[in-house]
Amino acid sequence: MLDKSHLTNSKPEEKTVLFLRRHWISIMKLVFITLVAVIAPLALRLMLGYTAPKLIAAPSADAISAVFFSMYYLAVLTFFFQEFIDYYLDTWIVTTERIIDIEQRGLFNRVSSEMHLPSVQDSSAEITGFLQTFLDYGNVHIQSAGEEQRFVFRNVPHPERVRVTILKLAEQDRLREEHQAPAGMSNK
Amino acid sequence: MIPINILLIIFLLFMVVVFVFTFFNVYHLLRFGEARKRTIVITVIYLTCVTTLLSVSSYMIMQADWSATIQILPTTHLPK
Repeated sequence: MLDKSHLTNSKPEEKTVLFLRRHWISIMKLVFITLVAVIAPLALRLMLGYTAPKLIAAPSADAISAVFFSMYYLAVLTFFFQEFIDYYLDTWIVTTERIIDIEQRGLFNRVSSEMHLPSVQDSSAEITGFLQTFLDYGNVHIQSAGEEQRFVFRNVPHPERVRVTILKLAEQDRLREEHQAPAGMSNK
Repeated sequence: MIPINILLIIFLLFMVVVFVFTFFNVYHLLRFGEARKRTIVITVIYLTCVTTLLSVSSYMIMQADWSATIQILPTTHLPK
């Protein structure tokens, strides 16, 4: 399991500052879709009861509907949980030393990336649209000194605060490294 | 005319798929999820939902009459 206080390859003084997931609105869309999927067959059954009662009264109807409803609802539950896990396991961790981006893409695809704070060159927050403005969530883009490496925190809460925190931590880490530089190097 | 209990075979195959997905979902959650009570609670809730749904399904399936048959192709009666 992922322990915030004991990340892999962590340095002795390293502390977790931010542990981010996508905004809860991402999961609300999924909940809404699932609710519609749950109610739809019940509504269909009710409608058939009024429009085609002979169909429902057929001798094989009970057996067929038992199997159909079972398979359908199990599929809905499995789909919902699969998407929930995708949301739950997508995390962005900002520590005093680095930024870790963990993305779960489907069932058998997981990508973990790391960026050390001194290499953070630029950070920008993006809030677009009424919902994002009203609920204060959006994307945070982090540009490193590498060729094209760029992290994107998608739909995280308080993106502006996250952006400022990352830039502050990057600056503090750079100052810390400068102070820790060997004395011989500073005399050159 | 085919017996409708053939649907039970389809249901069984579907169950295998559901078990595979459930296993891997729970595996991912326990392996990569946050080390907090919340992760365990979510896992327990999911397994409870799957178990409940399977129990209800089994009950409904046992109540149904599986001796019936369904007609796939319409029978035509040629005039004499």
